[in-house]
Amino acid sequence: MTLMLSDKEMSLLDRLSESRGMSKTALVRQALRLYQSVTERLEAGEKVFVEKPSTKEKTELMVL
Amino acid sequence: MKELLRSVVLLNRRSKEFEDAQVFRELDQKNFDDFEKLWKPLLKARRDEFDTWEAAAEGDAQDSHWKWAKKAAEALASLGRDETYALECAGETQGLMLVKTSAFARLDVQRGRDLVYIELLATAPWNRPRLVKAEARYKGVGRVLVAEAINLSHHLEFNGRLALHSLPQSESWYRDIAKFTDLGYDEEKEMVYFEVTEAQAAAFLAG
Repeated sequence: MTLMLSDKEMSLLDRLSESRGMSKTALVRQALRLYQSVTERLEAGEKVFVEKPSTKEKTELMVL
Repeated sequence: MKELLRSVVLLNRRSKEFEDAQVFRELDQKNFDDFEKLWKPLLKARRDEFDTWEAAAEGDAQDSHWKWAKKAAEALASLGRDETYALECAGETQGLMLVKTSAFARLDVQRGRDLVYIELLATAPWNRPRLVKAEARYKGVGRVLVAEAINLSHHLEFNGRLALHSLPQSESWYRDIAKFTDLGYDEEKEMVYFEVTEAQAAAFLAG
């Protein structure tokens, strides 16, 4: 398959690829694995949270 | 499908000779059978010599309850996110490993970076000196499998970064021999957490 991305999406891919030290291909593959992990947790009835270390405040990650 | 990744050699402590061994990705029925029929009776017998799971560290039998077939099935269903590996030598399974590829580093120098996480790693009971109470068979099984996890980390462009929680029976190996960074006791997992930097991974592979 050929992945078609908008300019904004391509810029985001460039930025993430550089900041995480991975090629675009490796980054997309890893994003897929992470999305799969989150989806599995949600499908199993679990909740996914992001925690702010300073306040321990938790925000639920909503995946629509 | 089970795939041969590479051939390696293992030192047979008893004969003092090196023997050919093979590293496979994905476990098959032979590995499950070896675990159930060959590993488990030895692990259970040794575990039963101790009153508590904590005490079983002395006998190197704290993993007697691990369910490899179930874990391998879950890994297979993950479509490549989780991977299982087997090391075979002399027609028998000498080591097993389960890794996850959706994890992030905690160590300051690499915090938030992707890494490979070793969920389970075990060498056959007859290769464990404290379990067999005599001359164990093959040396280097754990080292070969950890090296394979580092290879996977490189393949995924994680540059060798790795992490794991260690059973008490294995902590000294990761800390003193492998020279991984000990980040202390993790209350959530109730085990000590170790992480491997890119430099430590390179040193491990070179050693």
